[in-house]
Amino acid sequence: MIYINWVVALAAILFTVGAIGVMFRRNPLIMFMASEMMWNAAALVFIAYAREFHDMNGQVMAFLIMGTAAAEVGIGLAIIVSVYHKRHRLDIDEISRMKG
Amino acid sequence: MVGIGILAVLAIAAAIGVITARQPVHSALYLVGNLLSLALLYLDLQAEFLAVAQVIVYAGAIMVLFLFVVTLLTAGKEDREPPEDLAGQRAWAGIVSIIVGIVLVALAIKYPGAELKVALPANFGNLQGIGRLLWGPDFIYLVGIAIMLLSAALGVLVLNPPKRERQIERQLAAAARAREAAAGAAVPKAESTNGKEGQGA
Amino acid sequence: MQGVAEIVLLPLFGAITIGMFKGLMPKKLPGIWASLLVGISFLISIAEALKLSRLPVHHRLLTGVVFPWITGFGPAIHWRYYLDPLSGLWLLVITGVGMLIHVYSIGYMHDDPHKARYFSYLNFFVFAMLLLVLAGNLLILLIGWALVGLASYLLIGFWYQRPSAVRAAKKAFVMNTVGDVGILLGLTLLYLHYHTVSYPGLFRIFDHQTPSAFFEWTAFLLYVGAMAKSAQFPLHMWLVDAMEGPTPVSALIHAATMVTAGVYLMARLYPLLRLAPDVAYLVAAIGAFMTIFAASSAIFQRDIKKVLAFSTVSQLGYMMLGVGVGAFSAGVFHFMMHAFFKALLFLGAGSVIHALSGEQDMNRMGGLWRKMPWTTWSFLAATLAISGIPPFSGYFSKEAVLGETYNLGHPILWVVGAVAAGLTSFYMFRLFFLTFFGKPRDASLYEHAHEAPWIMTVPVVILGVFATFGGFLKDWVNQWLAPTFSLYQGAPHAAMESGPIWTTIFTVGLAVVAFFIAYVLYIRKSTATNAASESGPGRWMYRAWYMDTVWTYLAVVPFQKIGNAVMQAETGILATVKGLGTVVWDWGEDLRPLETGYVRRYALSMMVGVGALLVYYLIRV
Repeated sequence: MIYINWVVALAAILFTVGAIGVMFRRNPLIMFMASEMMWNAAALVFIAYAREFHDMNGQVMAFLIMGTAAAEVGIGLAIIVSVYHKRHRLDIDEISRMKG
Repeated sequence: MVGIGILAVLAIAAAIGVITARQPVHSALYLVGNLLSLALLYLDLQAEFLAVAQVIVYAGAIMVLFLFVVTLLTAGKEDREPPEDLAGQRAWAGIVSIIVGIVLVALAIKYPGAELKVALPANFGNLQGIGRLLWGPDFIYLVGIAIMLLSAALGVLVLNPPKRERQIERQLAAAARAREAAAGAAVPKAESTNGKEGQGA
Repeated sequence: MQGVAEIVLLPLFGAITIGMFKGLMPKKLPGIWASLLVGISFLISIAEALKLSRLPVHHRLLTGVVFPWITGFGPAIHWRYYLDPLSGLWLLVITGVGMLIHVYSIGYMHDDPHKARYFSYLNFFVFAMLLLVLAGNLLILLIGWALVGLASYLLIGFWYQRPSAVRAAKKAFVMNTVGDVGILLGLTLLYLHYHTVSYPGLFRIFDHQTPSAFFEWTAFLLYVGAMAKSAQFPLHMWLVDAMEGPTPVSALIHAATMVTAGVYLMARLYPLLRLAPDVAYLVAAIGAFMTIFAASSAIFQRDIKKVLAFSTVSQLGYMMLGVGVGAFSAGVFHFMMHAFFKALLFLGAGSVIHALSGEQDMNRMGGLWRKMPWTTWSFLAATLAISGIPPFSGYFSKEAVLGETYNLGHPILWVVGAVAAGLTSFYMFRLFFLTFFGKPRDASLYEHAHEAPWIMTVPVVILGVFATFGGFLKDWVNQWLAPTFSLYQGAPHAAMESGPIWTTIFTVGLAVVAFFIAYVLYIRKSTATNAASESGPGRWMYRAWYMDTVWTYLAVVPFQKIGNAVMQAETGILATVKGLGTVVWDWGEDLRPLETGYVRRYALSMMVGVGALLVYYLIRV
């Protein structure tokens, strides 16, 4: 038998791992990948509850997440590339001019 | 159940691999593994279309894009993660994340779901089911995604416009100079300072 | 209603159009347009007066509601107009004399670059004055009252680049505001007690009342308004300073019409005065005092317009004296005659000033009769009128007032008025001789003097005709005003009889003697203009009994101190408010370090927030 809440717990763990990745690593590419993992965890929750309540809308939502993640990755990588062209270094802590 | 358990362990292992890999390429590959295990999990959850979409779109397109960028930007570079500058970031991040994780898991477990006695509706999770929804009542979300992707494409063009020949040459020359300055500056740092840093520009 | 609306609104239309389009109008248009509109108002006024005269004697009243105004808050007050013989008379004088003065102004203000603004203000004044006299209730009257005060302020300070003009305008306005408050308080008392302020309503109520303290107070408060507007002690000082304005303004506003608004109010509310005999006596007493006080100051003045200003104050005293003792028709008749000869005197003085390129000091005048014949002889007619020499107009009206004063049993007031009449004759002939006769005292000015252009001379001559022959209107005016002053039961129909023959001989004789004294002093002996005014009693009278100084110390200085204190308080409040702003700014500065600029820090803070929310959910849900 499938206990949906275990799947949700898995999604929670994946989310946490992704959060740790975002907060710990300084390479923007790896940070981005960790945030992609967080997206996936959310999609997993939607699909799990779709299965539980027999409601297709959860899967539609997961589809939307996928589309959004695609668009976001496109733009995010473009930004990272252009920042790299300026500084020739991949360190997110250097981009801190908006302080104060 | 066993299958789900195995897939869960795989996913978590891959996730930990993503955040701890030293090289970004390894990190990307670990992420692909995570995505694939999740795709198989979707299959178990009667979301067949999404499983395949995950493989094709996520692992097949998005991660490929990631790999392109990673290899382009980090080819032949030193990958040592610089020491932590921000005071207490790691400690606090660790504590807060663990608390959040525990709370989330507790919330998830606290409300056990039950298997519904009713049968799954027809076309649950396959192409026809999602298709009927997306092109029917949820059409506006489809349009939304389309617009989002379009604006993302435009945005990429705006952010990194294709440059002319001269500009590319100028950029390459600047990049070369920057590399030399970095190389030149690294050497005098080992020796005693004798004013050479002011000369390289 | 039709005619009345047009009479009142045409000058307003003129004021608005000239004010809005003065940049687009050709140079001469504002004057002609303004005069034309007032002229049309005059013609419609004549038509309305004829309409009124065709009504039966005891129903000679046109009144009605133009539109309902204040409703729903208790007893209603509406926009009501009220045309009866009294307001009809005022109407004719305002529009008729107003039209002549507008035409005169076209010539007088010819060289002034701002004459469009002048005509706009002048038309606005005519509108406000008409609103005042045609008002059907005290509230509309108050609105007109305040608006004429505004027009007066605007016109006195017309040449606003002159600091003395600005000061004079302020003084006039502030003193008039005291009067406005008086009227407002009186009006409020009546409204609260009797729930109406309209004339028909009030007159019906006053019909069957007996004198009481309430009426005394109400009448006194309303008289305070009249005090301010008609320059009665102690609110009289603004009128002399109001000469800073252009001379036609002095003629129209501060001689013929605006200052008589107080007389109008007292005459209109004659039933109330009947119910407040103490206030009526106060009105008469102060009026009598003003006649002699102003005359005493006028005999020492050197500025031609100041003499005429004091003269106006003195004559207003006569009008108030008439109204106070109960001789309402006499007081109103004196107003009418005064409008003619005083407007003439001012316009004539204006012609002289114009001829001498702005000179107003009589020290520099003399012998002008050869250069300005028309002006001179018209001026002489007015001087004879104001001195009360028969058969000129002023004789009839002054005799009516003084005669009735004596007849109604006020011998002391009569003596004061009679002596003042003598003084009047003296200072007016002094003025006349110094200006027009004798040897010219300033050769260069005399060289360039010339008769005023015809557009200025014609109104002067027309007024001269009225000043000469106006007295023969006495019986007609008496008949015309009778319905107003006997409309309600018990009101005395005050006739305009002169007193016993010896009083007339005394007054006229005093005037003739004064004429001879002036002739001897200023023609034969060529006394200087500032004789006897440098020291002693002469100086005190020259300075108008130092009332300005007293008023400054009593009223102006304390208010300035209060104003300064309030300014200090305001500066303190501003500093506090600014201080508050500074405090908030400092808080913001202290919060600044939260924005570190590091993305990972922001991610951490987001996670902290999420964690807090989740813990809360876990505990509570």
